[in-house]
Amino acid sequence: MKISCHWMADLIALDEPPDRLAADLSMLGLPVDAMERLSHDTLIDIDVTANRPDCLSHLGIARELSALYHEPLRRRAPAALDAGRDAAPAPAITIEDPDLCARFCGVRITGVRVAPSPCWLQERLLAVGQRPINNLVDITNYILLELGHPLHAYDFSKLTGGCLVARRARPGETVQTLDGRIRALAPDMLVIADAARAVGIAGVMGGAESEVADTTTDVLLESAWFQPASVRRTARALEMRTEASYRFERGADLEMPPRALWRAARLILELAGGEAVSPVVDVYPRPWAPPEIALRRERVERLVGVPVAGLPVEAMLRRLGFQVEAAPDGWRVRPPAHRVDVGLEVDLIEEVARLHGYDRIPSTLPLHPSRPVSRQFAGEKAAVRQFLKECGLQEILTPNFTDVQRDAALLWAPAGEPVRVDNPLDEGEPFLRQGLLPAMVAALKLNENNYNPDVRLFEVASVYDRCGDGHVEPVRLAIGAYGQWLPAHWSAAGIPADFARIKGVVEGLVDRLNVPAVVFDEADDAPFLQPGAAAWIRLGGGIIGYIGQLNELLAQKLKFRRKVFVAELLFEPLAAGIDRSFAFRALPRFPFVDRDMSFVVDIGVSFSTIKTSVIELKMPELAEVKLVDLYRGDDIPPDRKAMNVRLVFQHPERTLTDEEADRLRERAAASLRKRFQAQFR
Amino acid sequence: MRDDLARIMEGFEAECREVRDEPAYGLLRERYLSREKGLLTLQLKRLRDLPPAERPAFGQEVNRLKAAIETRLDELAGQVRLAAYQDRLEKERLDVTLPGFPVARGTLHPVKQVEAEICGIFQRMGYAIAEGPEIETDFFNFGALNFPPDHPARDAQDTFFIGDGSFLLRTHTSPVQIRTMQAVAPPLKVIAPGKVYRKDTPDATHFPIFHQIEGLVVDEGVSLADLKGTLEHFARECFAADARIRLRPSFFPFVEPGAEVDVSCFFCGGRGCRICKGSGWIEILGAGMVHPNVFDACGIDSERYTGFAFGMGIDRVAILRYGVPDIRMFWENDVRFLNQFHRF
Repeated sequence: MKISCHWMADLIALDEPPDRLAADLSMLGLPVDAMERLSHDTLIDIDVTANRPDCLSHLGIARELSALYHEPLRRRAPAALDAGRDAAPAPAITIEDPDLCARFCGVRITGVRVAPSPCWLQERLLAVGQRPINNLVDITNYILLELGHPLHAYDFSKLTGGCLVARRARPGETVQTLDGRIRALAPDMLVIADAARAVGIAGVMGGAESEVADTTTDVLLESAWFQPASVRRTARALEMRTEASYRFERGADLEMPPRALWRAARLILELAGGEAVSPVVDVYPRPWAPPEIALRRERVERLVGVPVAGLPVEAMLRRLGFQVEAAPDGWRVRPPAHRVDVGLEVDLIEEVARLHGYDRIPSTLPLHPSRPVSRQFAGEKAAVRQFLKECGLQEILTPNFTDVQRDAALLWAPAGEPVRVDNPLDEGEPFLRQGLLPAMVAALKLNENNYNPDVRLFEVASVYDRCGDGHVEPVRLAIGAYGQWLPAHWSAAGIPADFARIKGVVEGLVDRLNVPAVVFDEADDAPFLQPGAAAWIRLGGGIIGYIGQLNELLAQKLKFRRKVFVAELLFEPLAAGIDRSFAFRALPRFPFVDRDMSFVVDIGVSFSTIKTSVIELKMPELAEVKLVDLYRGDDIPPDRKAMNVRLVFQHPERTLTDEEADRLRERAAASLRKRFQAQFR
Repeated sequence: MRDDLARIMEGFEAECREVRDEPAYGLLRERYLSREKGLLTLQLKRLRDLPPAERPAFGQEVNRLKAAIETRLDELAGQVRLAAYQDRLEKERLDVTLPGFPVARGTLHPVKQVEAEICGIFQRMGYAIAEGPEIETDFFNFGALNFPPDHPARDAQDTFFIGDGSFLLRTHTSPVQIRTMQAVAPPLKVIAPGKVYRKDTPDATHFPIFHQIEGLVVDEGVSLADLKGTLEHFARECFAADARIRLRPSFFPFVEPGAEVDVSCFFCGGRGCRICKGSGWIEILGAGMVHPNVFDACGIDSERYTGFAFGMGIDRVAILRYGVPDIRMFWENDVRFLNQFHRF
């Protein structure tokens, strides 16, 4: 809302310079977006919040400043208009749907001459950004900006039957609005109609057929009050947003319609050569009565934290136009009709605090306690992110909107159907993502395109699936890397980001969280992973994730130049699998003994089957099975591999002898020979 | 024969002076003290050739000489080892200016860092962390928060709808207020960070997904003064030790009285600069006293309890603090950008 200081001077005498006005308005809750200095005027652009339609005019701002500065308004309200002896005949006005139109006023003025407005009027409109059109239209706009009440001028000669009625639209009814478009009306929309047809959409826009033209001499001015929610629904349904709808949908002043007409009619008589004016018709079936609100002293003190003794509550409210009566525990207060935002005690308390000044309220630091609030796995989520960061990964943030078709090739184990947004920003991405891999791959690709040679990323975020009548938002964790994990150093070669590196991170994470029984097995069936370089991560019989090289054919299609390694895990099952039992275990009192087994087996025999088969021998002294070396080379057949596996033995009550350790090793070796045809070296 | 011993001593002294390293020392020691062929052993063997009367005296002479040579050799051993050690030091001298072995540098996302920092400040004040879903219903996102249907207050939060309007993507973290108050009876002190969604076309200052953090305190006797004190404390921990705050009346349907909260500009200290557009203040938060209608929707007695709530955009704080020129950079994930935030 642009306010002209020059115009404001008509309404209130102010000594304060514009800068001061702007600062004070901001502290009153009317923040100033911008100021514009003209040669003889200053414009203040105020960002009026949705609850204060009463401030969408020069009068409204003047009322606020009047209350703040204790300066009475120069002109409180326009005076009533006397039609006089040569009165034009009063127009016939009726309200058919009083639930949507609480008040409808009209006045007819004859002998009008449509012409350009005088300079001063044009200048005022131009200053606040309104294009002058002709004297009649300009006057309605002027009233809108001065008093905040939207008016509409009809060419009376074009109204069938010379009457106006506020009624719901008839089925199939249409109206051509001022912008020339034909609007199809729905039966819940309120229209203004003459005897024959709709001539305007109530509170939104007038009709083209009854529009004021250069030839107009007989004018009917409409000034009404329309139900806010109805105006808003209508304007939204028709995708129209006008100065009128903007004000009506926020709530116009019920007391204003006749006053706005009096003022407008005077201006028309003065500036547009009107000859005769009719009596003002005021259809007002159920006049407004202000609500009575109890304001308790104790409540003011409790909510604001300031003793009421220091607050001139009654005087402040009166200055804002409220009627105030003393009551035993405080006051009984009636708000003025323009304060549509005030209906409860707290609203009055805000008025008191606001006029007193928020900056004058003291600061106290409360020491209130809190009951515990359960939050699922919050600590674990933070721990996972911290761990991955310390592993050298970089956290990313990726958008949730996506195209399921595009993601399909990279989507793993959605928990249901995808969630579709009704009104997406980008029609090409109407879905919420169900997995983190597509965005992870996109982030890796962006980095490769930007010539970043070595990249290690992770993300912990929700994905979204439909589930029954509702939705689930499971948390997932994604890892992605390419290039060198650690760059080459003058003392050592670089360490590549590869399967083992990513797996080490996942194993470290599982270890850090203390999730026992996580196992990995081949994932040749994952279409987006490279066969032979992919593993499922299993926990308690279910798959909770995967690790692997991004399928090379897929990576080529995505134009990756490097090998890409990725992992994705379901966070909740992982967190639920945490073993939270923890107790100190006595340190072993006797030294451990280790024995290495060097043997050759078929390439297809995995380390984990070897480890499991040794563990299954249930040797009580066995403490650990470690892979020390893995070798494939010319001195071994191409379908075989050499392994060096270290067995660590420990006895709780004595030192194991060399002979005992040798016997234990031989038991393990015999089992491997038998089960895997291992050839020992 | 005494002269022989004197010559041996002279020779030994001369040879000692030639010893530079451990092998030469070893040879020298061998040459004089070897049990079989050492020069002193040979002298002792000569005792047999002497008349018995002279043997004790000569024996004593040889032993004295042997003791002197051993003492001297031990001394020499120390010198040789020291020299060898010094020699090794020189050979093994490092160029300490060479780069050390690198550690893979990880980073947390700058927005998440700011989120963690803000959560930390409030957790130290005794706030619990609360969470809620991102796919919400109209009731939790608007209705229970005192946004009437068909009210223009909803315009400020252009909403993504789901399931033909039966669900929506939360436009603020405020629904967590409702969920928390419905689940837990007062007294309550919670902070709720999370993603929120508004249908804004992406540009330098807008992205349809961003992060907010919501605060809520409900107890008997919570006042606007308490809100001011709390936010002042927050501003001092988060922005600058001497930060000031300013509350301006404003409108959010779920609070009354409501306020916009400015923090004194942490770039210019409030004198006025480019960042604060000369005003000395930066708008950071929305806040206010919990509206009685919100308490009603949660079944909390608004006569007995009062409360305050506040909310702020985390991305915005990160942008201001680090001077990031374009919010979209937070979502691009170029590691050259992420690398800059490794300090925390």
